[in-house]
Amino acid sequence: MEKYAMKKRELVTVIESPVDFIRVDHEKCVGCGDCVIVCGMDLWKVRDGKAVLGPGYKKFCTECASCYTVCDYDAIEFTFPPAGYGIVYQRG
Amino acid sequence: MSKYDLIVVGGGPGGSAAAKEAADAGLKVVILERGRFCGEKNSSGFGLSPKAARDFDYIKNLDVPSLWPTKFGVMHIVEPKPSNADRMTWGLTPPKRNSYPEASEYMIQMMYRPEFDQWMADVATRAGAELKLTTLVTDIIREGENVAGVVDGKGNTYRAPVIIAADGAHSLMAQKAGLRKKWDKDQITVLATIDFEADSERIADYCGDTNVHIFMGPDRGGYVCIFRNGFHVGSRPAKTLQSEIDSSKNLSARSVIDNIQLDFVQRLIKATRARPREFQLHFLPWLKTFNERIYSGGLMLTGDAAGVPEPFMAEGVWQAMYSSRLAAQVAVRAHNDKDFSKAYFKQYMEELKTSPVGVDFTSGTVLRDFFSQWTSQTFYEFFDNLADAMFYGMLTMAEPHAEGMLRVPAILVDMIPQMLFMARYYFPTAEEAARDKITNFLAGAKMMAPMLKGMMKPPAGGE
Repeated sequence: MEKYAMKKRELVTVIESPVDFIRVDHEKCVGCGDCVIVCGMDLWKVRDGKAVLGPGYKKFCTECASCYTVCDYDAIEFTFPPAGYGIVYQRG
Repeated sequence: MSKYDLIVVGGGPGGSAAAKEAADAGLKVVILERGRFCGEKNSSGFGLSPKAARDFDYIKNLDVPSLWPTKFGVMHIVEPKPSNADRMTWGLTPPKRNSYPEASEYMIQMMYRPEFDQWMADVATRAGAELKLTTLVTDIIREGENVAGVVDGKGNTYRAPVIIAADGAHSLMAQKAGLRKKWDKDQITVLATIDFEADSERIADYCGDTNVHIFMGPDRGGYVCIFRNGFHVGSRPAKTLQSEIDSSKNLSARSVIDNIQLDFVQRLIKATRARPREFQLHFLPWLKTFNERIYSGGLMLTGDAAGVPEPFMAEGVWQAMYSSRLAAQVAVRAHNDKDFSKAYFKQYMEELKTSPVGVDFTSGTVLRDFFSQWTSQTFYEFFDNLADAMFYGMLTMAEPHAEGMLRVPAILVDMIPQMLFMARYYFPTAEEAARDKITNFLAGAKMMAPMLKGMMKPPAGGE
């Protein structure tokens, strides 16, 4: 049943935002990795001591804002994708 | 620029309940919803409790395709990992003793949120509210100390002397108005759910009228909600983001995967030929104390934005509807009194705190603390003993019935420490939760305490 964990990206419908809606301030980021832990879609990595988002994050982010919430250093800025874009829950 | 009497930010059940109330009272109301349809951004496939039909007349006419009133449920007490087996199961049924009739008819009404949210939006627009879809509020307009309007992502401005922010847990409105920057890590949980598509006939055949399954056990928890053509497997909601960081694990995602492996869920998947259809993450306020920072000049926060979901069972839709309607009533009063100051809107917070939502919130925190004190041993011993006491005597097929019945007093004696534990914690919990409604219960507790104490005396001669 682990296959469901690996397939979760196939189980989300996202209309890809034309603009970035999560930004990381690398001056403030200390690379603690808390955003990596809490992201349910596994979109974050720590590279060279700084948090970075995978290039495809706009295709999979469910807009829960956990990364923004747990950042103790206010390094993560989170807004919603523009209206009409982003996560679509048909069976929420 | 568009002018209104009331702007409602967010077209969920809370926003629509507020808009309906205010429109009925004659206010010019607009709902601003960022989704292309109401419910597009929700992920909490859910049950609406009978309280909603008690408190909102129009809910009695609720009719959406996925709606399924749950007559029966099953509580599964599950073994610790790595087992996926049930240790025992209990049937749940609507309680007979209730203060209103709906509560005896069904436990909860299951349905998909996009269907419900759109139905609620129709209720609001039929009452005269305007609904603007695909409209993301990005900023507020201030006038002195008051919030006096909002700006959307396309630069359109909307002005009103009162704004109800029903914009969800993340609440951009709360941030812009300076009511909070973000929730504390210990105030938020994420609920992960996987929606499965399944054959409706097979669901009906396999599940009958039993549409909700709750899983409890030491360090385990979760649920399955069954709809007409699918079901949700949900994660355990009792951990906050802080606990995920402390354990360096994404507990919600792990929990939902663990729950899929439970024996019961595997049987359900096989019997209904189910396939996973949607993965959902639901950001959920999980507060320990009632949030009082839910108003400012011209602004009231409601529902998840205010942090009102009940912290024990994680129910949030009735709370959102109730708090939003209350906010709309205060907005109507504010128009009558022509006072939109912060001092005026304090009454919203105070009324909410003493309303059924506030009372349920307080008891929810107490109950959550109560159950968190149960170690796995307490947990199993109590349920094992209770099941034995109830069933062993009559129903044992392991020993002659008479011998089984003779065991019951011994089982009850074994339960005395557990009953005292209940008396020590549960009764005061109930007293605190129910406040003035507790007379019968306290009388029972008072009667029981000395009896239990007497029975606890060591046998003659001592040890």
